[in-house]
Amino acid sequence: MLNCSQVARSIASDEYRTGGLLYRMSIRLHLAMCRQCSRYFRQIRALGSVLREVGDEFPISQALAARDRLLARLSRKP
Amino acid sequence: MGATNFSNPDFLERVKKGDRAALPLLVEAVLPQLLRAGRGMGFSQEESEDLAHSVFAAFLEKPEQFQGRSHIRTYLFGIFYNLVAERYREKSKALEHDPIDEVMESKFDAHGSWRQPPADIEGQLHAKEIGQIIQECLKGLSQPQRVAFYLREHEEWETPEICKKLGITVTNLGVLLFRARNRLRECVEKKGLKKG
Repeated sequence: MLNCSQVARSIASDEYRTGGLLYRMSIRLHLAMCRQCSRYFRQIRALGSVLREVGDEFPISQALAARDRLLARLSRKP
Repeated sequence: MGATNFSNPDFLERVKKGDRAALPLLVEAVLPQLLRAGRGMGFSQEESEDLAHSVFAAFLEKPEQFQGRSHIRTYLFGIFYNLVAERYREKSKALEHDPIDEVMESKFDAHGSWRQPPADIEGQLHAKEIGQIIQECLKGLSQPQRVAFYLREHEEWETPEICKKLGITVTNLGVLLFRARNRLRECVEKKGLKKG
């Protein structure tokens, strides 16, 4: 039987995603019975989805300035 | 502006032939995405612009290598990730020690049960300002951790893909992700508890 420490490590390191079917089932079983680990699991997963949603705000003015710098650099022949 | 169809064969032909007039359009379309990815992986604005410059310079050196089989954006990002991987290898020869390992160890008792269970931060994770908190917390990660976390969570690459590109083992990737996620989670928890 896996303990909480092993389950947390497995979740955060992605071991549970790459492990075999039986291994993944034993993790799911632990999560179903353990409120603390399932909370940890939800939070780790939420961090990823937040990252996908927020991205990095990139002001137009900054993008245009960067574009001009880049084009100037590219036009300078080495 | 914005009306250029990058799948248009004429445009692609011009790009392949190295037509320099087509370049600003291409740069304008792809540069913000490259910079966003660079910044997302923990490179500074300057480093990100450097990387982007190298991408376009490499492309212009041999534009004929672009066969038009993939989208031009995908092709440029292919060059970009190769450059990132190169820089990554220079920066991280070995996994350095990270205090987050001890923080995590201290959370469990001798039987491996939670001594300090995760706080209830679910509300926070759905709050409007969470994006800002995460951006702030991301700064606490090492560069290798950010690269690994970005490729996994933002680009949604699978483990073998990331390991191959970065030239690291599955175990090392696991360590990087473990540390990145726990550093972030800890940071969000701390900031939230302070506010609450």
